[in-house]
Amino acid sequence: MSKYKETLDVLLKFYDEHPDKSADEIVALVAKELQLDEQTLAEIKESNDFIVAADENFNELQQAKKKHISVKAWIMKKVKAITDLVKTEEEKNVIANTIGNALEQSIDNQKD
Amino acid sequence: MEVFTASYLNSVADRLKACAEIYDMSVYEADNNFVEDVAEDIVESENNNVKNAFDTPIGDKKDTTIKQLMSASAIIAQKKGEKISIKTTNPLGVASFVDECYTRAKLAYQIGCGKLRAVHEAVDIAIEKTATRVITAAEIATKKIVAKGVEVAYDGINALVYAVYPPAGNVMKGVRSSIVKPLGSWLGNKCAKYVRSGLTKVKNCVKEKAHEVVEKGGRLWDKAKAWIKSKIS
Repeated sequence: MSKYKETLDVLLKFYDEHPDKSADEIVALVAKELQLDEQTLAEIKESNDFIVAADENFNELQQAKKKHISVKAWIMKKVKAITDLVKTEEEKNVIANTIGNALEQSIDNQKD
Repeated sequence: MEVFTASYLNSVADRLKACAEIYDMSVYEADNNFVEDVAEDIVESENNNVKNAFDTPIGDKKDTTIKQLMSASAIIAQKKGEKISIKTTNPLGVASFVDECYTRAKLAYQIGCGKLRAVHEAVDIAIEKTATRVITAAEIATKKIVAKGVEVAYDGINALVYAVYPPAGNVMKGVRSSIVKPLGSWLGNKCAKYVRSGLTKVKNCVKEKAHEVVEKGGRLWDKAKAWIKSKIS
């Protein structure tokens, strides 16, 4: 059995036994058994946080659509919130350009 | 304010290059063991929390936990020196890859079994899932850069965002080889049939939908830029 599957089996078994626990808590429970060092735990935390944030944003978008807010309007609101994190117009443009290019490319590519 | 150093940008560029490889479908086709694992773990699980996960709505809380545990397992396997199909060791890249694979498999299953009746709806979800990943990546990258107290340089943030987001050109393209092929060994499995049937329907729809999004919706970014420019002072 691969290390990946072996580890996942351990984690899912804990999830089955503790369905109320978060992924971070489950990983913490098995950290000793799996001999995880601080660096690995930090990377798992970073990865887990990204998945949570991405899912929260997705669900927020679905709620917005139910209120008849368009996808575009929702994206614009988020871009504005992100650009508000920085001060100068140049920095705001850098961020906005990056997001815009990424979105545009991601949708454009689907024509192929 | 300090600007990113050359060595920092080089390390970001290396990460970007590694991530670009992940999303290259030829990589999926050549070595799709991880994608196979994602589907297999759901389909064949005897775990009560997992086996019904494909029957819940996309974005269900259960999805989040399962994807996190998959991503954690991939990171741990990499640390233990196991060669898996994810070519990046960037934790956000791993998380993004898992999210993409899991969502594709679940959407295909739901179309195949009739839970999602409108294929356009599934394609919309796939596109929206990708868009929200882009936004999330930008949000995290910006917060990281701001926390470091450095100036937001174009190459820096651009590379950080691209290191995470999967080119959505691959939203459905190539799924047949990456998901269905591994399912071949489970022929007779009801879920495998559902996934196969769902993918056929999606394949016929995705091209048309993508054209519709791009052409009817106009060039999103041109409008976005104008809007942002009008809002920032």
